[in-house]
Amino acid sequence: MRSDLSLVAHHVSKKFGLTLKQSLRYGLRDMAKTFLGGRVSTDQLRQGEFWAVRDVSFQLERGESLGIMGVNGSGKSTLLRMLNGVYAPDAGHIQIRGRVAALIAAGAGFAPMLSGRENVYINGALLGLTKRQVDALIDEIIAFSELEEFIDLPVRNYSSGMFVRLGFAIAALSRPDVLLMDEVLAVGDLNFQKKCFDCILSMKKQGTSIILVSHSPGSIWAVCDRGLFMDHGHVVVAGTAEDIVRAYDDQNSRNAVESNLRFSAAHTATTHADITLMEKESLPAPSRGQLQSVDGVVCREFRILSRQNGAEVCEIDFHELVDLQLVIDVYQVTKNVSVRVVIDASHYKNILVLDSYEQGLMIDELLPGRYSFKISLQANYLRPGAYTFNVTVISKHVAAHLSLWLKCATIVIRTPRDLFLYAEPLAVVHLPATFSCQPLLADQRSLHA
Amino acid sequence: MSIPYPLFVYIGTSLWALLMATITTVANGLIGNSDLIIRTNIPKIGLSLTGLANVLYNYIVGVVLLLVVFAFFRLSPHPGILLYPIVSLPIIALGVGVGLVLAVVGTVARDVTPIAVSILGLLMYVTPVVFNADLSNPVLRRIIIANPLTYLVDTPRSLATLGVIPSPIGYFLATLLSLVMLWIGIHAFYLVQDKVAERL
Repeated sequence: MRSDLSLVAHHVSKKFGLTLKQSLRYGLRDMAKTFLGGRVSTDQLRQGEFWAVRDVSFQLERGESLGIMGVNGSGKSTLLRMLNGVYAPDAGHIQIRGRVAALIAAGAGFAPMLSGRENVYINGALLGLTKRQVDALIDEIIAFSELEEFIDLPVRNYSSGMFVRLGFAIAALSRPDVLLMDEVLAVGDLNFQKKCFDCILSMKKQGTSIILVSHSPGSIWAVCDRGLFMDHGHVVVAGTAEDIVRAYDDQNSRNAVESNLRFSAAHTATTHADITLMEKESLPAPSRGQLQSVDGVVCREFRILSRQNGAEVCEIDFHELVDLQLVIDVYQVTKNVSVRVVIDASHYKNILVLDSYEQGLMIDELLPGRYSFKISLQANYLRPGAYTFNVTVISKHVAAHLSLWLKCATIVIRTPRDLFLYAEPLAVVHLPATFSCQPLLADQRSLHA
Repeated sequence: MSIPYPLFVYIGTSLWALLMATITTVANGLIGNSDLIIRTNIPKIGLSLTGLANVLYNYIVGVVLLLVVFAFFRLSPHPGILLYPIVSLPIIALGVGVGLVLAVVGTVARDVTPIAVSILGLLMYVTPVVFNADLSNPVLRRIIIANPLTYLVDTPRSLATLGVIPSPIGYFLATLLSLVMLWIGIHAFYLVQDKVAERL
């Protein structure tokens, strides 16, 4: 291990059993084998096991910080526990230089009946500090955690924020060589979070290496120089903090689409089952999922087509233009028809509407037959994320819609390579703008004048 | 042999309780501290043994009470009672050894610990805890003589009340066995302790 490195993970893997029964059997077998002096080879998967972390390698220099992002179940916490020495890796090895402090969960190891002050000493001992070292730090810890009058209260009466504050204060002020953090700062209030970030950055300057696991792109971007994006135990992207935030956002958008589809399918299946059970004869089975016709018009197809090659797409680049294609069947003569596409974002409904009359097309009359509409987008200002399309066909003289098709298509807009859109996860539209800055007053004194 | 029966039983059961309490405490030390094990990297054997402090404290209270029981029967304990805490140490060693094995096995198969403790509890009926070793049933008598726990319980009790060690050789062998069990327990614990955290 090079002297400027504080942590090296070398092809680290960890596996777990899928079912309790299986892991119990393997566990007992391995244990018996070990007792009898045999060697248990751990680098192969047996039936019913999976890799929670697979072949992860990275190095961390002194004072460097690494962010780890990934959706739930991607192996972040398992990796962190291995780095903390709690789990032994099943393959590969980890080398760490110096003292490790871990903030894996708020208030780990606090004895509920003891006071905050007593817990500081216990936690300090767990982190490898002597009583004298804690004596020297205790005032600083109390001040940092803002617990002055509560420090002698039993910690079972603490709020979760107080827990985190005390836990963070002990871990941070013990000046470890490596600090591992797992999504703990989110509990503190804004003022404390800001203080934590200041503290983390100053620790970094003094040579502490930091590993931060978080779901918050803001924290990763604020703290980390580099990052890993994990998916199903593998490191998929290893790069700058911005790169992994992008990969994480894209993954989240895809998952949003997928879970949405799965939920709809499950929902349709249950409702359908209920109907068959309850009133087998009287209700017609709904045809093709959400597709409905109210009055003589049926939406048949809705597709999102790439502008470049006309192929159907479900994922496009930021700012990429697409064509929407809608095919409807008309069963009776219908007058003054307009077609409307409504777009939902994952958090908000009806964020955008494309209405044919608004955009200059009102069809006076449709005779029975099949029609295809093409909607060509002139601009696409949607921010990266997942979007759902709903289609309605409307007649001017009918108050309600003639046909409604909810969730007829979904699309994922990928994060751009050239821009870093981190500021607001709930924002849905990105309006390109030019920012500029000019000095108005020359020096600070004139501000008070 | 003129120990009042209540005194005989009191000493016997408190020594037996010491063994069972040591086993259960050590065996449950890991599961009870799973929160700490998963979140911090500290020696696991320490966590398994922390509960012993509690057990020893109870034991000391029991010894003090023992003196009260002696006073109640207007008996003065034999000076051999000073050795009482020392000669009961093999019981603790045995309990820790068994407890450590159960602790690591128990992390994988949770139910093993209570089952094993219940079965060990049955051994009380072949150990002279509430009755005298001089039984008329020859089979039971042979089992009791072969049972090392007999000597671990009998020796401190006889020493405290009568000032004699009934069977020094039996006590010596039983002590040796306890130390072997302690060694096995510690050894087994260190062998598999890396695998413990992920099972909790």
